[in-house]
Amino acid sequence: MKKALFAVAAAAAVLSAGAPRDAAACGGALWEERVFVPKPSPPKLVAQAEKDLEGGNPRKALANASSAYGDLAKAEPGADNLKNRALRISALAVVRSKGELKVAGQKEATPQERLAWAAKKLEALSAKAPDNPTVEGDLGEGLAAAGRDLDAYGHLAKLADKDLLGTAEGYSALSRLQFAAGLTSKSAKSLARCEAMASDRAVCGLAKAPEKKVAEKAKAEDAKKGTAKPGTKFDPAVFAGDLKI
Amino acid sequence: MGNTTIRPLAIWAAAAFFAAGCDKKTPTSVDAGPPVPISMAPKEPVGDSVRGHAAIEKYECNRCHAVEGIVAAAPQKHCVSCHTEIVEGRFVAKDPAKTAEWKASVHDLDVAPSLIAVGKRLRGSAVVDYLMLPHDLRPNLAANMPRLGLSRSEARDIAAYLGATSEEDAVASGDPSAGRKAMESKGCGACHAFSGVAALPATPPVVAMSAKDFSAGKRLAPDLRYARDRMTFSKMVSWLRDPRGTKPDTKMPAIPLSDEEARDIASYLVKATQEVPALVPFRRLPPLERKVTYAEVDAKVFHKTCWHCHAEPDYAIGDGGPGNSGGFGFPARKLNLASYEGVAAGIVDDKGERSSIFSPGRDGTPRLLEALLARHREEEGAANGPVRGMPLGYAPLTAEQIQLVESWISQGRPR
Repeated sequence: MKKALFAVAAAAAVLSAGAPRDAAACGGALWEERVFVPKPSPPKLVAQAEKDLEGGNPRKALANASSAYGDLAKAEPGADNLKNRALRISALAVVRSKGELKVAGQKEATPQERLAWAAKKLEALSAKAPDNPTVEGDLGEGLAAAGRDLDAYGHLAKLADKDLLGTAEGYSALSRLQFAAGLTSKSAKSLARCEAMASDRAVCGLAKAPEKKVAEKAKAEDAKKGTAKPGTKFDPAVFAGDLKI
Repeated sequence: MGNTTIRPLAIWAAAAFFAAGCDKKTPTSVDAGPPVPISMAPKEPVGDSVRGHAAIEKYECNRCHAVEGIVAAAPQKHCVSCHTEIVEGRFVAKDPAKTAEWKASVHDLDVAPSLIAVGKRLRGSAVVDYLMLPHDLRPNLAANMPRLGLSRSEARDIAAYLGATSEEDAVASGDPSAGRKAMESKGCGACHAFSGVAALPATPPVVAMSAKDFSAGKRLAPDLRYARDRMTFSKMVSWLRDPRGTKPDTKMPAIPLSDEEARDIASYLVKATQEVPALVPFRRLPPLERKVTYAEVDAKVFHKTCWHCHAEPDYAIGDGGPGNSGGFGFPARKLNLASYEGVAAGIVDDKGERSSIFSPGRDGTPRLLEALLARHREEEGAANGPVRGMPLGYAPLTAEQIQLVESWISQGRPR
C-alpha cells in the first residue's frame, strides 16, 4: 500500500513538474506545447562570440565559440575558416581573462599554462595567415600575455608603425612593453591610441600597471643606492637588465 | 652666352606653363554655331579588336553588360542578373529571410545598357573618353560606369572590339528650331534630360510603352547634352529613324519620324547652344563635435554601402556580394570592412604590401576619405588623378556620411 502511495505521489510530482505555468488551451491538460528553440547555427554563434569578445565579455565569447565547436581545446587551424575564427576567439578569451578561463576539454592547468596554450594557437593561426594584420595583432597580444615580450614587441611595434594594429588590447600590451623598454614617449602614444580605440578604458588601465611596478622598483633601487630624490624621473637604462626586451 | 642658353629655356618653360593653363581652362558655354562641318578626323588611333576582346574579359564588362561574342558572367558573379532576381523576388537564398532582407535593400543595378551595336551608334573617341573618365551620363540611373584601371590603349581596343571606330560624318543639315519643337511634341522629355538647354517638357511619348519598358527606358536614357560628343550626325539620324533596327534590344521606342524630322532633331542636338553647368565642387561639412563610434559608422556607411564588396565572404554570413577577391580587373585588396579589426588591417597596396586606409594621402587627407571624396569628383566629370572614387560606380556618399567618417577618423577611430 505504501509502495502504491509512493508511486502515485511520484507520478503526480512528475506530472506536475511538467505542467504548464499557464493553463494550456485544451482545458487545463497536463501537457504543454513546448516551443522548440533551435540552436543558433555555428556561423551565428561564432559571429556572436566575436561581438562578445569585442564587447569585453570573454567568458560569453568562449561559451558561444565552444557551443559552435566543442573540440576547440585540441583543434588546430585548418581549412574550415569558421572553426579558425572560433579557435581565435577561444585563444583571445583566455588571453583577455589572464588565463582564468578554461576551454572545454582542456586538462587542468595553471593560468600561465593556459596563456601558453593560447599563444601557441595564435601562433598557429598566424602561420596560416601570414599577411593578416588582424591575426598578427592577436598574436602579439597573446605573446605579451604569455610573457614572451620580445616576440610580442616585434609584432606589435611593426603593426603600430604602419597604423595596422586594430585592437585597444594590442596597443595596451604595446604600451606596457614600450614603457618597460624605456620608450616612454612611444608608450604614451600607444596608450593614447588604446584610449581612443577602447570602448572601455579599463582595457588600457592594464598599460598603467607596469608603469607603477617599474616606478616602484626604480624608487626602491634608488632608495637602496641612496640616490632617491623626490621628483627624480625613472631612468629605464638602470633596469635594462631586468627587462625581457 | 649664358643668356642665349637661358632664353630658349625660359621661352619653352613659359610656353609650357601657358599651354598647361590653357588645357585646364573650363569653357562656360558650348555653341556649335551655324553651318558646322562635322566631318571629323579620327581623334583616336584605331585599337585592336582581338586585344579588345581580351580586355573585355579582363575587366569583366560581362558582369553588367550584354556584349556580342562574350558569354555572360556566371549567375553568382553577374551583378545585374543577381540584382534583378532579388528585385523581382526570383532569387533563392539558402535562408528565405535573407532574400526578403536583400529585396528591401537592393534598389539599383538591376538594369545596365547592353553593348550591342555600339559601332552603329557611337563614335570611337566617345567610347574611349567615357571609359577613361566615366561621368554621370544617365541621370536616372543610380549606378554608373565605374572608373576601371584600364589604359587608354586598352580603351581603344575595347572600342575597336565593339565596332566603334568611325568618326566620319555628314554635314548637319536640319533645322534646329524645328527639331526642338519636334522633340517637345514627340515626348522625348518623358525619358531624356537635356541639361544645358531649356528643359524639355515631360509629355508622354507618342507611342505606347509597357510600364516595365518605360521604367527601364527612362533609367537608361542618356542626358542628351552628351549626344553630340557620343554620336555623329548621320548615326543620330539613323538611330532616331529606327532604334530597334539599329539595336534590337533597346528600350528606346520607335517614334514615328519623317527623315526631315529626324534631321531636324539631330540638328538641334548638335547645334543647340548648351550652357555648361557650373561645376559646383562638393562641400565637406565640418567634423562633428559629438563622439562618433565605429558602431555608428558601420551602421550608416560600412555595412550599408561598402560591405557588399569589401568583406571577407565567411564574415558576411551569406550576405556577401562579389566578395573581396578582386574583380573588374582589380587585384584583390583584401580590405575587410566587416569588423573593427578588419578596418584597421588595411589593404594590400599596389606594391603588394599591407597599408592603412587611414594613412595620409597626397595632401594629408586619410586615404579612405580621399576615395570617398574622389567619387564626388568622378560624378562631376572632373579629372581625378590616381585615387579611385568609392563606392565604385555607385552614388557617392552624402555629405553627412562623409562627415561621419571624417569625424570618426579625427577622433582616433573609437570603437
